[in-house]
Amino acid sequence: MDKQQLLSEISQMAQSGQVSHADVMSAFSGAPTAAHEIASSKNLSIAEILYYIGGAIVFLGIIVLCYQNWDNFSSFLRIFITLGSSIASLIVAVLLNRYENLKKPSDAFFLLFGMLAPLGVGVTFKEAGFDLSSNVLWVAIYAMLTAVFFGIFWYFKQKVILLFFSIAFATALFHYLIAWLVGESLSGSDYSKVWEYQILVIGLVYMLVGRYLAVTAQKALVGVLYGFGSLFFLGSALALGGWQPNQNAFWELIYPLVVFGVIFLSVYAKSKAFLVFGTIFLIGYILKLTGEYFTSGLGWPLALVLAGLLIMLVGYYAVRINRKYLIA
Amino acid sequence: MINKQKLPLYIALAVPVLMIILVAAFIYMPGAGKHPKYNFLYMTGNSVYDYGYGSTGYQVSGGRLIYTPPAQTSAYPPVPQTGPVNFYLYDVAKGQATEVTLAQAQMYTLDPTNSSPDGYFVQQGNSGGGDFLFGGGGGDYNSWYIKGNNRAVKLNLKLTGSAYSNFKFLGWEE
Repeated sequence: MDKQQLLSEISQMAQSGQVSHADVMSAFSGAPTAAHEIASSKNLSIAEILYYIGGAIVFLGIIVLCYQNWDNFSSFLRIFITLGSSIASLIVAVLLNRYENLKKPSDAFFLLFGMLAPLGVGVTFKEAGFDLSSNVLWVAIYAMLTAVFFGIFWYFKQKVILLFFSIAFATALFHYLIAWLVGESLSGSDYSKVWEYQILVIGLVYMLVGRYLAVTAQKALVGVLYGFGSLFFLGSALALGGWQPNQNAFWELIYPLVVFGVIFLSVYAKSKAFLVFGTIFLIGYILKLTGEYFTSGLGWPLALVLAGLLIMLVGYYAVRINRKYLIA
Repeated sequence: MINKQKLPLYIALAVPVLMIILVAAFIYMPGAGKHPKYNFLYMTGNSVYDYGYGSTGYQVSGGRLIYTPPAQTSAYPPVPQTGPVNFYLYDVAKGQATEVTLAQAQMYTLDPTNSSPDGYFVQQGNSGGGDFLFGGGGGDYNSWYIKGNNRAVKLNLKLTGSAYSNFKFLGWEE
């Protein structure tokens, strides 16, 4: 292997997250990567936690200020406080990010920017006379926010918080697109079904995006995406099964395959979230079937005994899978 | 050649697009090229929406609009509807309402059933529309829609007050 090939290999492995800057530097110096360097690159430090808490409290302060004094504010002041704060947060975040030792505090300001942006844009449109009850307006707003945040993330590639908000706003965009298409065309129960399929799709997309990010440099979001993805996917699939006498036979019969599939994926993806939620929803499915079909007659007590034994078995194997495959 | 590492991302982008296409097809295809054909007569006035207690006295019987003075009952609302009422014929093709006199309204042959002969019906909106983060539902209680073939079109009604209580459907013009 020549030098160019080696450097190209290192570059590819760095992009996929298999090698860090600290690893390469330690190879240069001949000393192993220090444990504290590994730890600090993976976990949030106390300082970072305080930065984020501070950002959340600033956001809370702005919300309380608006709530207490909204009627006394002019249109200009309402827009200035909400949208103005959002833009100010972005400017501060971009400026702080230019300094190596201030990159972490800049994350907190990017967080503030993300939390205030939809509020600021919504207030601006409302003060401009637009009807906030219109789904078309919210489709436009969230399309704009998704594009802006994704564009800024593209520029600041290391800022995972911006990717988080891009995904959150894209989720809202998807929801409002469906709501706009459906409109008033469906009855209440049919609209609930559309909601359940929406959440199923959102859960599936989160798991797939998490799988993709697991092989890139943005690994920090993988746990969150796997967690919410499996929660939404399994929860909506269970809801789609319905309840007797209006149960959906397809979803009730296929659900064990779905949930065991997610538990199996926990080994492949090395995800505790898949294992935990898979186990919880498998237990929920057992209890649901018991409640649906065995609540009358002699069958119920026997079904409860059987359900209890099954749950113990599920718990035993969940712990075994965790110990054998997921603990590094 | 598809990059295998990016395959989950491609599927993640394709699945919601597919769902949007399927929902759009389910909503719009059954009604493609179909439009309501029957106009309908309605009345508007203070609290004419009678909540089933027949407080206005106007009803369709034998295919004609008639007026029967409502009897005093102890049911809610306790007194008949008061105040002037106006009658409108809604043209479903043009999407507009034209006021008619009581005498003109009584000349129409009306079908008082909820569903028109071509399967459409007039219904109030379900819930509020979008809000800050998640909401939606497309309509609200202060709007009325003509629904059929999986489609719902908002009606351009002329009303004397709130659509919530100042609208009463009378019948389809035959």
